[in-house]
Amino acid sequence: MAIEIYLAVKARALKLKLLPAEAYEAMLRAPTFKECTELLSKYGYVIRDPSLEGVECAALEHMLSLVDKMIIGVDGPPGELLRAYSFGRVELELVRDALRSLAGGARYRPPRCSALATLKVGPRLLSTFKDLWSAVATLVELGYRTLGRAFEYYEEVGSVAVLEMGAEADYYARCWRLADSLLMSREVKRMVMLDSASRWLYWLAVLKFEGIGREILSTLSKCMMPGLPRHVVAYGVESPLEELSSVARAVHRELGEAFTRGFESGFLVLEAELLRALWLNATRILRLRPIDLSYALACVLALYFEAKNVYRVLSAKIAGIPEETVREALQLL
Amino acid sequence: MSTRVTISRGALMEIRRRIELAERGKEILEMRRDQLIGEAFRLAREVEERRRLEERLALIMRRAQLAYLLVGPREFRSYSQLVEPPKVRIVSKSLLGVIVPRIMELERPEVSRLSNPALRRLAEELWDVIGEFIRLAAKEAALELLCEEIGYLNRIVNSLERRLIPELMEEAHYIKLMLEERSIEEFIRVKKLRDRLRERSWLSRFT
Repeated sequence: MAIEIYLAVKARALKLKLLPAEAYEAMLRAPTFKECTELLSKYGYVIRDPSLEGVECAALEHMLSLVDKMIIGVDGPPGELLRAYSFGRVELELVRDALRSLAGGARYRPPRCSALATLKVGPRLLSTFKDLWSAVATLVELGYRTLGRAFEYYEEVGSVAVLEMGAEADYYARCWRLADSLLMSREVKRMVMLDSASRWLYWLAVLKFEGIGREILSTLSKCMMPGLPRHVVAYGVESPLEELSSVARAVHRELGEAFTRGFESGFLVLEAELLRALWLNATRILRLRPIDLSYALACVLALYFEAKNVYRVLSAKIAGIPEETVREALQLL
Repeated sequence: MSTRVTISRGALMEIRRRIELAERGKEILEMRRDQLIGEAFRLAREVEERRRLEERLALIMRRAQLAYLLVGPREFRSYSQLVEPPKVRIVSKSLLGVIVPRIMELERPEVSRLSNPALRRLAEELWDVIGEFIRLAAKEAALELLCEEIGYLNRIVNSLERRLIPELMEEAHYIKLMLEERSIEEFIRVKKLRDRLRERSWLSRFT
């Protein structure tokens, strides 16, 4: 418990370093990329390379260094969970990217970022894969077991979404195992559950849309949502909309609302709505300020969202995307 | 009038034949020009849809920009690697005798492997608009080539109408005048000769 309180206190110090809403507004209004980076430098972002890759590296470096500072000296399960949740998230993104590139027949070119070198499955390893098969074989050895099963399904149905869901299932299963085994507070479990549930809902919608069969969906869902009662996961596959909305209600009221609102406007909005529901939960925890690991997890999530948003705004500046479009994207999220 | 002109009935007949040929050629070229103008107008009406297409493209591009931001630039790039590029072939075809390019869509981009349905739909819509733009570009190129051909025909018709035919007609008129003059001279000469012969025969009677 003492470690959790220590982490919560450290997380509060970390929360003070988060970008305020005015900073986003100022970034959006900044006429040039240079002014944007100058503004960000006041908040600790060091952007040396004004390219897309450089910007992404700077955002990720900032996030990972702050998380590193928070968990430094924290041994044991809470530190492990925080590490798995934050670093694992970045790793998952890279793995999904690599899977997509390899499935498309191209070699993966990861961002050259020194901060990512600490990841278990880092850019260096991912760039060595020549084909999808060797990549999956190596990743299975490194603990991505569901991905191995998903690869079998992929060979059967040819959908890259199955592979991506497999990799995500491994990430969430790892987080859930850590959260469940450490006798964490209910709020911590709820948070991990909400996160995986929102992604599960997304993949459920995507895979149902692609006409993926019941057996594959059930297997992957069970791996992704080990914390959910079996009756929620063991759904029929008769009417996707009814089932999805009933599952959404069972998981969380907010997610249900987000889903029903998002489905009509498309999958991008659905994804954004699900992320927003997750963000709302994180901000609720940040507001309540509980003295346990959930606060630190919410902080990590807030940092992750911040890094992604900074990357979005700066890449929009590089690509010359109008301010209104960036504002709309940020509002959706 | 040029002094090099051969004044003879044969030359006059040759020039008349050339005038007839030039006039017939001019008529044919005018007919061809009118046909090309009709075709150019038809193409011009089709090319007018560019404005509508540009508006549609602007809308889709805005959605693509939004997707780019929501998905993230790196992810957007890796998603794009799942798309098989389209295959098109540029062939030449004859449109009223003018060689114009024609773009054939052999294969649409293969987007079925995209694991994000929103991006899949976006890619399909984007290709629909780009495909229409490609067809429009072929029409615009055809219109440009037709206009060039019309300009070329105009120059030929004008040169026939204002230069070659009037010159030939003038030449024919000159030869005709010269031939008439010659025939009058001949007539007078013959008459004089006849008078002289008569005079001679009258005198021989008295000697």
